Formats: sequence, structure tokens, C-alpha cells
Amino acid sequence: MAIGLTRRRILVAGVTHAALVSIAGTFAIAPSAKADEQIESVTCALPSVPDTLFIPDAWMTYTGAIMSLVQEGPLSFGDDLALGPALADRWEEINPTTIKYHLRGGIKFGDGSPLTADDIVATFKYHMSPDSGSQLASFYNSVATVEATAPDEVTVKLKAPNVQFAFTPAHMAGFVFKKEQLADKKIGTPEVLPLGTGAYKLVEFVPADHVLLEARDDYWGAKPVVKRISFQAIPDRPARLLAMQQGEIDCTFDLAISDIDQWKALGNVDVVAAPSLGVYLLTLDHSAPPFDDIHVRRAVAYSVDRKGLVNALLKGNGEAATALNPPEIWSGVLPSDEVRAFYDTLLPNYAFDLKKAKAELAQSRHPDGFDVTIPASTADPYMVNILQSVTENLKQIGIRAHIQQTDNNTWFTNYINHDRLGMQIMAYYPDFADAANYPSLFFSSANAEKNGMNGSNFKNPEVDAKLKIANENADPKARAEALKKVFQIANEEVAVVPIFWPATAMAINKKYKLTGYTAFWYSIPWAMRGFGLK
Amino acid sequence: MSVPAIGETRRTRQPLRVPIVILIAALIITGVAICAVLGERIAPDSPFLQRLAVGDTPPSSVHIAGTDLFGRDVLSRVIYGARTALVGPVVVAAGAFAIATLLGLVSGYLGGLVDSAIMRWVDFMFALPVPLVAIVVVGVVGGGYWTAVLVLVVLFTAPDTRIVRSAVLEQRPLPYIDAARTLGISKTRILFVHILPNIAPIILAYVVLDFAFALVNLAGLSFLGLGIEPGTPDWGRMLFENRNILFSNPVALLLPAGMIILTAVSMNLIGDWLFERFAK
Repeated sequence: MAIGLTRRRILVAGVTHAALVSIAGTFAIAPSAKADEQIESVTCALPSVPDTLFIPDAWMTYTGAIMSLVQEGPLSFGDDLALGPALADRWEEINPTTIKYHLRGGIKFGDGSPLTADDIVATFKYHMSPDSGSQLASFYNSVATVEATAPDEVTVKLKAPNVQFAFTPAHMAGFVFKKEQLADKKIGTPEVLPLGTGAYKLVEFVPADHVLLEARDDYWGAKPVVKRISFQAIPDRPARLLAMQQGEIDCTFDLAISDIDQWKALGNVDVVAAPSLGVYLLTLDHSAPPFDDIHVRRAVAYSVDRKGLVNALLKGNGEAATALNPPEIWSGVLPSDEVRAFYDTLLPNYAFDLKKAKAELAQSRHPDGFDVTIPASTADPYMVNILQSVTENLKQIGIRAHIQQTDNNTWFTNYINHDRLGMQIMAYYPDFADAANYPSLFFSSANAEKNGMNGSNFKNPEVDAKLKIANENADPKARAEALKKVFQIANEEVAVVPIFWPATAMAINKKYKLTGYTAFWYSIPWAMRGFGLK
Repeated sequence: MSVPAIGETRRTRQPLRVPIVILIAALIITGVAICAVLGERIAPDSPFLQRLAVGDTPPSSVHIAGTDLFGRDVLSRVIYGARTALVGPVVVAAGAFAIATLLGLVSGYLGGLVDSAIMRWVDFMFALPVPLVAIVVVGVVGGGYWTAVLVLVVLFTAPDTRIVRSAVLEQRPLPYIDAARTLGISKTRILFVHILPNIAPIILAYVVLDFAFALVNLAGLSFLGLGIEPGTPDWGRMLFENRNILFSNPVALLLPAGMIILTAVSMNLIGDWLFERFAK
């Protein structure tokens, strides 16, 4: 039966088609609508959960991964790692030594009390006070005064211009505490959970075991996608893998890159990787035998098979470190190709050579070698393995090196307390991307003391002078020249023994997505940065 | 005085018939012992030689059991690892029974207050879970492999003391002991010259069983990252370290695991057989 086309039929057919397409279209975008739904709960595994949640006493990436969801600084890092507004909706540099932060209105802590300029002042002053013993004190070395100059305004005056301070309000050192809580000696314990202005509040904390966060309804920013986030300590790598396979956890951070294939093989997991800007290094205590001897330090430097370690442990997902700074962290000061060209000029280059290592040790005051014990965190994915290789090489040149495995908290506490430093292994991930950050932490005399990161106790007046230039001068050219000199001296003196610059990776259940995973995953509220259902 | 009949004498001198299972077990233990003694000399490669550029690889004609994360030859490490697998358990079994023999002899023969004191200590030690105490002590004190061995010696002494005491109590009322006492032989001589040889088969059987328990316990501690230092070729430690390359070279995990099981089972079988044959 033939059906003739009439205008009416065309109209009816058109309307019908339009209706069908509309209905089909609605179903087609359903996943997007689903992506906007609030997720009831997410469980994330960390290699270690700290003993305290008070950042000044537990400055670690794992503390940051938790507390960056609870606390905020005046500023924050964007997905491009650039500075952006947070508690302060704008900030201005009045002059090279004066910065003003203008606070947003209506921001509340997790207990409902309002954020005031005094809270920010109290937080900054806490870190600055020598009595507090804050592990983040060095970030405030350049600050002269900090005061509330208006109810919604905080003014920081620096002793001298300091390029690096601009980043401090954005990372863990800038996370704001409620003023009253800072006076409580129990802050950070399960009895006194730190309050913050972030999207989540702490509701449960069992030290070294787990943490539970709950989304806040009164958060000033976007509504959190996940209602509850729990962090579970699972130090054992295969146990974490099995937990993910069994669906007991939804995500985990700080994967060992060498395990990536195993994670991908799970099938229900997406692995998200990014350049970490981190560095693994050995520190050698210059202030005491045997590492006060340059020949011993050079012997150690020649004994590290950096390229081999990148191949074996990182499966190529990283780079053998020829200096402390990864080339990318110089951005804004020097292009990375120029940085690599400069690194190539650093002499000696300490490429793996056991003959040279033996020769150096023979010239030292310890030609017959010595015993040394190196502490290593078992929570870190690479430390013990790096040391397995290094200690075996050192044994071949006569240095009887032993590995002492410890938990993460003990390892870091020993390091930061500068307690019998000797030889240490350090994994450092940056708090911000600035070329002067690492050298200031690891090479400046000011940090060669308790609560300082200079575990080599390396002190050199010329380095301090050049670091001053790099920190105080905004001119990239002047900074570059100063920092180049710093790296030359540090290389000659073997201030540290760089090992590798690894990539960073996390695993997440396939049903979720996380688009905002960056090198600073421990300083940004990661669950608010593109986390949701696919 | 009666003289045994000819037939009886022949019966007692029957050749020792060893079951095939025990022969196989003895062969395995002999193999492990050879590996422990000769170690690096019979290994196809150095167990310590790293080839970081190679990394973890599956079994091949060059490396029969493949390589680990550091490119080290797994088979060579398993062969070399027999040393810690044997030495520690031997020290634990011998040390524990040396102390336990002394305590058990004294306790069982003297009785009274001495027996009571030693047995209360044994009761106390029995209340302690061996693996847990070992984990806590080695974890807190540190000191590595030999601390673990020392801890196990102490922990194994208590049950061994009870075994020796029981054997002594069986011997004490026998006529030869009364005869020795009547002859005025000293207590020390009675204990070590007369009683000890008669309970030696029991001790031997339990020493072998102790070895097997010590092997499993030490391997367990190494697996937990306690005891043996990272990088040392040790079966328990290899289990721990090679878990992360399970997908790329499963043999690196299965071979040391298999050796622990084989050695422990073999020693258990031999211990059981010795007990059945001599101690009952």
C-alpha cells in the first residue's frame, strides 16, 4: 500500500521524529546527568596515614592529600600549577616587600564559626614562632611581620624581597587554622581534629590507620561531589592492589611506577600519571666523619647507577637526576632545554663508575671503608629498592652500608630532627614550582638545623649569597645566573647525591574520573578538581 | 642373668628399612644442605650481581628462573638463600634444645622447688604467641636476622623443656637409675651419662621438628620485612620482594615459596619418622 506524502503527514512525521530524537537525546546525555550526581562515599588508600593531622608536625604528602580537602590557604594552585585565588579573592604586591591579601566574605570553618583575618595571622605567626617547632618554619624565614590591616585584609611584610614567599599561602604552609585551636596542645589528635575552611571536615581519625571526612553543606565554593571520603593506610603495595581488585578501595595515590602494568591489568582501574617535579636524593652529613671528606662524598656519588634505577624501578617513567632540580621546575627562569644544556656542563658529572668510586675512596681518610646505616621509609615505593642497589655498589668499593627499614613517620621525624644524620635517603615533592625552592631547602645554611631540610648540613657562604639573589630578585636572568652558580658549587661539593626525577601516578576505579590530578595532588583539594562519575 | 635368645638378637639387628618418602625428604634436605655449604660456587651466576638495565624478566635459557627487579638471577639467589634457610633454623633448633635439655634434665630429675620454678616459667612462655612475640621484639629491638634467631631460641626453649622433662620423668623410676643411685654415682653423672643417652632419640626427633618450625617462622619474619636485611638472598625475603613482580616473573615468587614448603615438609617427615622409629 502506497502512502502518499502530504504536508500533514510530513508535519506529523517531523514532530514524531523530533520527539523521538529528543527522548533519545535525553537518554544519550543521561551519563552526563549521572556525572553530576553526588557520590555517597569514596575510599582511598594511602601508603601511610600520619600520626597527627596537625600539618606543622606532620609535613608529608600523605598528610597533604587528606588535609588539602579540609583546609585551605589564602591562595591555591590551579590545574596549570599557577597561583589562583582561594580564601583571598585577590592579592596585590604593594611593593617588593609588602603583599596584601583581600579575604572573601562569608567563609566559615567546619564548626560554623567565621574565618577572620586574625586566623590567617595566627597561622602564619605560628609557623614563624621558634617555640612552635613547625616543620614548615623555613617557608616563613623571609617574613618580617604579618598583621590584619582590616577585618578582611592581611598584610605581610617581608624582610627583603622574596620570590618564593608568593607561593607559601597556596600550599601546606599556608593552610589556615582556627586561631583558638592553635593554642590547644592536642591539636591534630583524635580529640582535637583540626578545623578548616575546606569543602570537607574531619569526623574520624585513628592515627596511622584511617581518616574519615564528610562534605560540608556550608562550603563557600562549589558543592562537593563526594559526600564522604575515607583514607585507609595500606602500606603494602600488593595489598593495595588486591584491595582495589576486590573493590574495597576506590582510589590510591603514590603508585610505584614499576607496578603500573599490574594496576592496569586489574581491568577495573584507570591509572592517571603526571610529571611529579619530585626528586629522590641522598644526603651526606658534611659536618661529621666520614662524609665531611669530599672524596668519600664523591665515592658515594659515583656509586649510584641512576640510569639503571630509572630503568629497573621506574620502567623509564622518569629521568636520571643530574642535579637537584628537575628541568621543568626552572620554568619562568630558564627553558628546560637550556637547563639540560647547563646540567651537561656540570663537572664532574658523577656518572656511575665504580672504578672512580674506588679511586676516590682510596684518596679519602677512610681508604678501608666504614660502616654506615641508612634509614628508609617502607611506605615509600622506591626508597628501600634504591638503597638495595646503592648499598650493594657501596659494598663493592668497601663501604659497608646497611639499610634500616622504618615506618614513614619515624623516618621523617629522624630526618627533620637532624638526629644522627650520616647518610640519608630523601624523596621530595615540591610545594610549588620555582627553581629556587629545592636549593633553598637543601643547600641553604639556614636549613642546616633541626626542622630544616638541609640533611647534608651543607654550608657555603657563596651559595647562601647566590640563593639570596635568586630569592630576592624577580628578574629571571639574574635568578638564573645566581642559581647556576649555586648548582655548580653544590655539584663540586657533592652537597647532595641526586638519584632520579620520577613521574607520579595514582589509580582510580574506572567508574570515576579525576581530571585535575597534577604534580601537586597533595596541596590541592583533589576531590574538588574534576572528580566524579564518568 | 638371662641371655637373649639367638632369634631375639637377630630381630633387633634387622637392617633399618627407610620408607621411600623419607629417602626423598632426606635427598631434598641433602640438596639444600649442599646449596647452603657451596652456595655461590654452584650457583650459575652471582646472586648479588645487578643488571638494572635488564630488570625483571621471565625464565629464559640464560636465566632459568628469570631475574628479579634488579636483574639478579633468581635461581642463584635461591641456591645462595639456602644458607640462611638452614643456618638460622639449625641454630634455633640446636640452641633451644641445648638449653631445654639442661633445664628438662634438672627439672625432671630433681623435682621439688626447682621443677616447680622451671615449669612455671614454661607455663608463662606457653602463654606467649611465638610469631607475635617474635614480630614485636624484632620490630622494636631491630638487629636483623640474628636477633630473630635469638628470639626464636628463647621462645622454642619452653616447649622443648617440657618434652625433655617428660622423657626424664619416664626414666627416673626405672631400675637402672635406682641401681646408679645405690652405687653412689653423682647426680650429674646420672643425668648426663645415664639418662641423657636414653632420651637422646626423643631429643633428636624434636630437634628436627624444631628446625622445620624455625624455618617457617624465620621465613615469615623475613616476609614481613623483619630480620633479614633488604637485598640479602633469603627465601622469605625473596617472597616479600618479588611479590611486586608477580606478573612479570612469577617464578621469582614461586621458587623460594616452593623451597620453603619442600624443606619444611621434608624436615617434618624426617622428624616424624625419627620419632616413630626411635622415640616411641
